[in-house]
Formats: sequence, C-alpha cells, structure tokens
Amino acid sequence: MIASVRVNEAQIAASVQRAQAALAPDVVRIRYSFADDWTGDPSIFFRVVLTDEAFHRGRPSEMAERVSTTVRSEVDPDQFGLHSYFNYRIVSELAERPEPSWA
Amino acid sequence: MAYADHLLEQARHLANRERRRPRQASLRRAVSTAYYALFHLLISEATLNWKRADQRALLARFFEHGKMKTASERQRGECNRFINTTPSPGPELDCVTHLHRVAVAFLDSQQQRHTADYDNATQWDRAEALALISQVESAFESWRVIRDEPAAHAYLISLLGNPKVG
Repeated sequence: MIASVRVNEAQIAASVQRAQAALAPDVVRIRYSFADDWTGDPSIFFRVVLTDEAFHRGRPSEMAERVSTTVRSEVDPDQFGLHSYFNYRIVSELAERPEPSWA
Repeated sequence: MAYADHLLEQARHLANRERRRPRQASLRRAVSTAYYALFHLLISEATLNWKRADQRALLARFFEHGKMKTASERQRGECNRFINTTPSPGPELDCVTHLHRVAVAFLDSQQQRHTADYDNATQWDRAEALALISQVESAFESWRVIRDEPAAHAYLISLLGNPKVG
C-alpha cells in the first residue's frame, strides 16, 4: 500500500476480479500494483494479459480501450485518488519470457 | 507529412524492426517515440494558432511535460463527468469522446515513455509497445476529427498551464 493514499485493497481486488470476469475470455488475467507515477502521484498500474487471438483480432487500441474502460468503471481509481495506467502483454510472448509480476 | 506523423511512423517501425526477438532498445525507443509523436502533434496544433509563423518554434518551447499532464488529467476528468451524465448521442458527445481519447492517450503514453527512457529494470514485449502505439494512432485520428472544435482549442491552451486567478 502506498503511504499517501488510503485504499481499500479488498474492494479493489474484488472489483478487478469482476472486470476480469467481464472481459473473459479475451483477458486471461489482470494483475496490479501500487506506486507513484513519474510526477509522484499515487497510482495503480494494471498488467493485463490478453490472448493472442484477442490482441490480433482488431486494432490493439480498441481492445485496450475496452479493457481500460471496463476496469476503470469497476475499480473507479479516482475515488481513491489514484491515477491508473495499463500495460498489455499476450500469452505467447509471456510464455517465451515469463515474468513473475505478470504471472 | 508532418513531423509528428513521421515520429509515429518511426515508432511503429522500431517496434517491428527485428522480425523475432525484438531488442529492448528498439521497443523502448518505440514507446518513447510514440509519446513524442503525440506531444509534438498537440504542440504544433497549439502553436498554429499563433499568427506569427516565425515565432511558433519559440512558442513551442514553452510547453512542459508536467503542465501538459496536469491539463490532460483535468480534461480527462471533465470528459468523464460529461460522459457519466449519459448524454444523448450527437456531435457534442462525439467531440467529448474524441477529446477524452486524446487526453487519456497523452497521459498513458507519457507515463510509459518515462518508464521506457529511465527504468532499465523494466523489460518490454512487442505487443506491449504495439498496444501503446495503436493507442497513440487512435488519438491522432480522434484529434483530426475534432481539431477545429472550440473544446479542442481550449484543451490546447490549457496545455500551457493554469491561468492566473483574479
């Protein structure tokens, strides 16, 4: 937990789970962590794993917008005073180069 | 084709430079370049409003990353508040939706650019870079739809910072 804001981590975990369920099967899993962004503002960083099929189906920006809109709607980071950022990876690339923070 | 478009094209080129196993240098530069494409697009659009063409390059140097972030956060919030009122479909909602896309892409790409340029511990994947580039490309398209709208020009002015109150 970041010191400068008070977040309800259980509430966030539950809402991320809801978003992940709503975005299945295109979204395989969503991980997140708390840190300050480049200007020092408290933030939540989402790591979203997509299926290869979902990523290549259309424009990645459309998928990204759908994911971020759904997650922001469920989690509502603004209510905690958090900025939110998203990174996207696909299953095949993660299989080649696994990273614990994305597992 | 303008400088910002060249940067965006270069970002995609870098992200796809190696056929297999992209180099981290290529992906990081791709992410950073995508941000700078949007950064320069917005600044060039803002400075076009300055009547004296020979001073536009000088004016462009008054824009700061941090102030542009603050302005984009404010713009994103205003757009969200409007969208959350569930307005009827129409030109106003379309404009706000496009403006929202531009502000969000600016915020996202700016943070990613900072990580790409300064955080050597973070490893990038190609899809990650391509997702961001695609987001910036969408922002370019949205901008071209609304570039003559008053709300878009208000956003451009706000990128310079807060006006004095009183």
